[in-house]
Amino acid sequence: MADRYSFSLTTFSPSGKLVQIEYALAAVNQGVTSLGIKATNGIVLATEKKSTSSLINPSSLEKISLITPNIGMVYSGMGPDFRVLVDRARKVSHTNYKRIYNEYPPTRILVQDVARVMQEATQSGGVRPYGVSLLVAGWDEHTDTPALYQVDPSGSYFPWKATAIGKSATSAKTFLEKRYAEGLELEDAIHIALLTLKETLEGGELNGDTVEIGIVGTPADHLLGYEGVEGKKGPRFRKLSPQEIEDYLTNL
Amino acid sequence: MDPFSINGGACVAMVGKNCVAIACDLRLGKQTLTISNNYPKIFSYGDTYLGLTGLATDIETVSTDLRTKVNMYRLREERDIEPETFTNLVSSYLYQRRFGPFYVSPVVAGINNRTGEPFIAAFDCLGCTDYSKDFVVSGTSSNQLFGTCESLWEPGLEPEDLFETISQVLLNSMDRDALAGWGAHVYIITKDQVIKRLLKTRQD
Amino acid sequence: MGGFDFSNYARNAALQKQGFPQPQATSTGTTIVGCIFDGGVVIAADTRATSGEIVAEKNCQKLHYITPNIWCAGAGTAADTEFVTALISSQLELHSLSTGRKPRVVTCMTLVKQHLFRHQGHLGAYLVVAGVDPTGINLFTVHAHGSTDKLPYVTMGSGSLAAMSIFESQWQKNLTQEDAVKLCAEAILAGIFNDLGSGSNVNVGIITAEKTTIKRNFIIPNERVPKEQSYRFPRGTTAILKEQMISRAELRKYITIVDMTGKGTVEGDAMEVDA
Repeated sequence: MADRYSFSLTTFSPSGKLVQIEYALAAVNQGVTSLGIKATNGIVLATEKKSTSSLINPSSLEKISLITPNIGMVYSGMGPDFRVLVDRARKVSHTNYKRIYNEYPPTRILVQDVARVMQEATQSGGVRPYGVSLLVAGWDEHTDTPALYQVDPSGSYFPWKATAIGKSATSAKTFLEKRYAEGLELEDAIHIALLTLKETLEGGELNGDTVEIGIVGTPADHLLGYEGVEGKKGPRFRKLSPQEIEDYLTNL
Repeated sequence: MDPFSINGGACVAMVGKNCVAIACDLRLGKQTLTISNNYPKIFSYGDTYLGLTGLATDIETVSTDLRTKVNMYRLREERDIEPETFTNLVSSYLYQRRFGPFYVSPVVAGINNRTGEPFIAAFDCLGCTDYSKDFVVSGTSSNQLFGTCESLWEPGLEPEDLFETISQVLLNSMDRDALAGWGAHVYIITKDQVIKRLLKTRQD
Repeated sequence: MGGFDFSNYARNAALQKQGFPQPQATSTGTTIVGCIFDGGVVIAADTRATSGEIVAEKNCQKLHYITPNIWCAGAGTAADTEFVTALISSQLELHSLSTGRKPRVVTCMTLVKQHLFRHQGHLGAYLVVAGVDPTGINLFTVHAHGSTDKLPYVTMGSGSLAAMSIFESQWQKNLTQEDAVKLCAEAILAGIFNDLGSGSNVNVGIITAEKTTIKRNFIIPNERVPKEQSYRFPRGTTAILKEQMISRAELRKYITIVDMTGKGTVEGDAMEVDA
């Protein structure tokens, strides 16, 4: 019923702007900072996990999500919107790709699919744009290279070497511009990611419970769960455990 | 009359040393009446090759549908489809019609662009893939092809030796199949080039 | 998938009515088995695929991946076992990601049986579903119409009777992993040698709480004797009427190649059509 008679809430202002999208971007710019750095042999995604109360169980909060074994995603903005997009991204990677080609989609294809979902929310009746920007990191088997993309509420997407989104995006990007170098290795990238987070710190201290890190690296064959199948490799995307993060922080 | 035998035809693909070959006959018939001696059954999709035997009307539909799908893939991915991926695409495409299948038996041959590995595969009309490390066959002469392949194929054939083997396999199988023959095409695919040859065959 | 295309159905039905036989699908004539042991479950299969009385494939894989801790052995219409297991695997992967839990074997079995029941037996998939999950060790069979069984040892496929004769005479309680693998392999061998629909090699899958191990060609009881002499033809045996060459790089530039031209093209004589 509702979809039969509803109007787009996103309409042009006389000056040619879609203010709903600008409001969505404003929501993103209030969000906790997230960043991604591409290295030669992988990618790091990092964000701060801010809990409003000490009564919250920190392990129940997840801001970086696995989409396919080689692709992961982080956001700045509205958590609930992100969860919906994660579900959609996982679903379309199967329905639009894996169930046809028996392979997982390359990063750019997945990014385009997610961007389409976000664009549709700017042009459909009865819905509002998604209040998130995304960083999508993946490894492309056919070129054997890592790829890092940012997707905005408008549905536009950009490939980056390193970038940040959210509240302190501007200062974080300035910091990354200074620190980034061609030929960076994943271990250095993780180091720089933590330094950037420290630089733009919004809440308390950095530790294993307040920082979340996802990496795209070499295939983690121990996470495959089975052996004896020719050519099968473990997932390249994985989350770092709080202990692993603590270890990186102590070496900072 | 079996829909697979109305038009007749034969196709075979083989693996050699860093090369693959795929070959087909050229006959198009209407039961025992021959209509054409120039009806090739091998189609190229970039540098992956597909052989189709079975009902001619379905060969045309399947080959053009797959052409559309591969072209869309090339536009989306900005690269050529690999033989393995193409095989999965053919398989899922055929299985979509599980309850109203096309009367075709496809064969795929190609060399993986990234790894340089030779690759062949065959399907039943429902899309079940038969991965093979040596040879695959399809068409009205498939029983004869199986026999000749089993005896003549050997591992590690160089492109020119593979050509002789696949040609003799096809030629001798076709000669014992009234529904196939009347000319043959052979493709020899290596890492950097493809050779297509028209064979001299009986015309009866 | 799931949404089937029926646009050829009317035509094919009309052809069938006119007396054209229906197409022959590749079937895994097949012997498949499963057996629980102390600490896990073993599944095993032969490796022959048949199309009528023709051996379509001599070394195929009938053990299908569902999730790392759940695997299926499939018998029946080969395309159906392949695609039903792929679909359920996909659904379970998404389910597992969204719940953040390891998938359960009963969930898998239920998805399979509901899918097969929905298709009223028209999908010819006969599956042994095996796995280890947080609830324990599980072994089921699912038939094409959607019925299921839960047993400590199971056999399916055309060689199921031969295989069951091994279990019924040799199975005992509280098997060790080693004995279970041996028993399953023995059951498959009974199928390979006594059932014409089964043949070639034995593939085994061992699932425990810790890990899954797939052993492809665990036993190769039917190795082909290498040829003593070569049938290699001398180069130049086959008469050629026409030859064309094209580089693969050039080939990639075109969407369709009607007739290949390019560097190194050698034009032969026109085809003889006088016969």
